[in-house]
Amino acid sequence: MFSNFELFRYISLRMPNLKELPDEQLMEQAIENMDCFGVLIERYEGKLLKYILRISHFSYEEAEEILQEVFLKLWKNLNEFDSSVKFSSWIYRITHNETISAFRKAKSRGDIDKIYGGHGGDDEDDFDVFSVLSSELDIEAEVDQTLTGEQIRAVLEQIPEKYREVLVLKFLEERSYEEISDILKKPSGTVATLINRAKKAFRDAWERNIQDFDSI
Amino acid sequence: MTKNLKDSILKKIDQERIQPRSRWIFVLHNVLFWTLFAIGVLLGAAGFGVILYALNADDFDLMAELSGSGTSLFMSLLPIFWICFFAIFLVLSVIGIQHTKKGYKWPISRFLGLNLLIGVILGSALYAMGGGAKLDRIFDTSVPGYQSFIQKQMERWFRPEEGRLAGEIMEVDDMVGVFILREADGTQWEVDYTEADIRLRTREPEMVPVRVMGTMLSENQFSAAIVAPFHQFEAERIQHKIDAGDISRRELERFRRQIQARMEGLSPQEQWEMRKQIREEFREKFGFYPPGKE
Repeated sequence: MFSNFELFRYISLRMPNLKELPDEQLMEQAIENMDCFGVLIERYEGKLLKYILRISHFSYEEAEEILQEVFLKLWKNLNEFDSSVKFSSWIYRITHNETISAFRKAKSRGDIDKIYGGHGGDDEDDFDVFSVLSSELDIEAEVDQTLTGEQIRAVLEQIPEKYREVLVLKFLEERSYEEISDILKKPSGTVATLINRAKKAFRDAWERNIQDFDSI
Repeated sequence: MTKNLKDSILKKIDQERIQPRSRWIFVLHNVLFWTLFAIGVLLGAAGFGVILYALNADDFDLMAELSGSGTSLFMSLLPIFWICFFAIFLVLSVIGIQHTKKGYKWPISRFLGLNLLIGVILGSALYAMGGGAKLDRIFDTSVPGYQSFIQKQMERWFRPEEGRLAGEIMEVDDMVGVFILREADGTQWEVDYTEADIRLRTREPEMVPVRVMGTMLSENQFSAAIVAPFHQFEAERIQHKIDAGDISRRELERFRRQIQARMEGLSPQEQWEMRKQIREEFREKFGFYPPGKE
């Protein structure tokens, strides 16, 4: 017979550490084991919260409420998950839709009139945002390295929503074309076109604003 | 970030006993859209089959000669109903496939092209197997207000006073350049074809159904300008109308002309008497009184 200690040790050795399991496996086990679902929440809450803040005007508290709805929706739709799509793409899709849905509700109440309000992550992130966007959009040479995240956001605010969301996904969330296609439920070719147009729209908006930035 | 987000979500799920939706709901959702796609493609193809039938069966070959009334004839020949039918089901099939699990992976234009291609291939096969004509007839008998192409065509050619005549060639006199044509209602016509553009491919035209364009010379004489085959000729469509008491406009026209001729030069009293007599004659011939007041 095993002693309790030996039994615990045996089980510990046999059971893999949940935190090391890939998303898709956690999803499969989530119905049977709520801890798996908990690991998924822990793994994605930070990224998704940042994503909601990047694509919307919502306050931190509102973004947290949206995030809670996202995870509840994820739980309700566990059986819809199709392993041919990456889990991260799927949860980003749910988050994107939930954010848009929350925006529409707020708009119908007359609380807001546009989804993007020009705020985002913290200052450290803003610097990363700047480096990624400026190098990707070929505006590195033209801009002063002291450009702040606030100025980046000011430019992002001026471009259409459809362009902003692909820029955020591509350059800030660092998603591949295929993943963006799965998140936005658009063909990969359309995503590529959108990204090209978004880059141009960003560059144009940047050039329109460059003098204003210089004068600051 | 609120540290207990995970705990609050798990607690809520536990307290409110929130259960994941059953897998079959998602399967059913996917199946429904695949079904919509299949129905859209199949009915669209059926619509295309009838369009092909209409374009081949109707009077498009004589459109230039018939179109005295300009574009209105072209519009009347176009199978508008079936074109709309085809378009609606094509769009439904695209909506169906776009809403399947992987439907977003390809652009609408590709689905539209693909579904159009499937519709054209299946529709052509249906037409080749006679399905187009059959569907047209099914709609004719079962959909109120729908008139089949053949019915419209038969009625279009049952108007000698407007220069259009249709029927079967009974006998041909090559020497004189005349053939005897029997109309759908049994009326026989002597058709002069000496000046006509003959578009028949057969050398033995007896019993061949034809459309004749030309001029009505008298009650039973017609001068042909064009003689073309009438593949869809169905005498019973006109005969059926006559049997049902729904006599043709031509009969009424003939009756009206007779009344005018017999009324000429008569006093009002004599006209009244004559009208009464003609009405009785009409009833004797057709079994019912003619339309209009006594």
